[in-house]
Amino acid sequence: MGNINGTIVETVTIDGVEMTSVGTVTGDVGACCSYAIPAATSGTVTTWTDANTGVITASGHTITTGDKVDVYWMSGSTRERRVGMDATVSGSAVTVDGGQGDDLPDVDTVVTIAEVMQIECACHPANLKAWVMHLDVEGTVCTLDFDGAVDEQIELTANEPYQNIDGVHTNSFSATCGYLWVSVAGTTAGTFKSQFVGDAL
Amino acid sequence: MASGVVKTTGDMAGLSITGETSRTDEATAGVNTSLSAASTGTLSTRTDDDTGVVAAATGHGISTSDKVAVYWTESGVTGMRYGMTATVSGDNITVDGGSGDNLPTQDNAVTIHKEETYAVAFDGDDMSMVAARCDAWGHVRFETSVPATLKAVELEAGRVWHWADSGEETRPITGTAVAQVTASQSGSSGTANLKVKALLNAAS
Repeated sequence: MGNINGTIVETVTIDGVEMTSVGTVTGDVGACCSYAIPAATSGTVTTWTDANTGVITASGHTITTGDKVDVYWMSGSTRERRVGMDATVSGSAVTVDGGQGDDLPDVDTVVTIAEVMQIECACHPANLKAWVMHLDVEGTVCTLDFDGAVDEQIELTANEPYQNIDGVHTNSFSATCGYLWVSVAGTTAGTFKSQFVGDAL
Repeated sequence: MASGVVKTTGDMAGLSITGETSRTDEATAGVNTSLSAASTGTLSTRTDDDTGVVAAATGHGISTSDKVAVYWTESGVTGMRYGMTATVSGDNITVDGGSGDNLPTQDNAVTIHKEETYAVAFDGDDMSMVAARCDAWGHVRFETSVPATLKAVELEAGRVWHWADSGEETRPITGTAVAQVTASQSGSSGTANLKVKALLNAAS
């Protein structure tokens, strides 16, 4: 027990006032990974059926029927997204359905559509000691239980690490994490990294 | 204009993650100070979970009506209670009320610290970043002028607590204006540096 170690160095500087901490986190279990995440494909909403159903026309996509996809668009200067949608493909037309997040935008809205990468995880974030995730481009990570239900939707800004450290941040996770869904918002591929240290349930 | 940066490096099993969260905004508020040393003592009477008597070392410097924080370790588990009201009779300090952990069992060793309050002026809704750090195990709370606690944070020794408005974690302070920061530390061997700083999108 307690044989997994990680080190997290944080330096916060606000208006020249520097605060540094070097923390060693120890837990019973740990998992770390690094994955290349494929780029999203540009497209347009060509049919809007309802808030969570529509057709996106996207030339050159590699999505296949049965894939989970995330859809991204801009509303003014605000990034919006709907994640974990089911895809049904007919040529360049991708029917998207379900998922969670923002309501699909109007017909003719320019979007990107990204095939979700599913990463096996098998950890217990309710007992986390530290979880650091990083994506070098803008994107989304969803944590899912083993039944495929989304627990947390985490919106990642390019190069800004997500960190949840016991004693420092609020632990909002409630479910055992069986999988991660990761996608990028733009048409440039990204690299996703994750480090998890936690205690067994 | 002022800036705030959180640099993070995580290392585990040969995988390194390095990232940076940067914000630029209009103003800052906070304190950078030394907290006096706590006094050693013993919980000589335990009346209930939030009432007892601390037999403190001579020279504790605490007066009746002061707000104090009590720190302890019992069976390897740390505990602390803050915002307690002191009633002093020599070296016997009756402590009552407050918030935090239930007081330890009678005769447990404790340290007791007279809380220190520093004036600040900002609105939590204006924060784009906030951080706090104490050299020693300590506690800080953000309060209104009443004072009422808006956010209480226990600080591990030498570890930074921070928040940035990435949208991934709930804004820690909202609504009512922050008028003061009240802090304490657990250590009895000397002063401890405390830094609290907020980056703001509007000057108060």
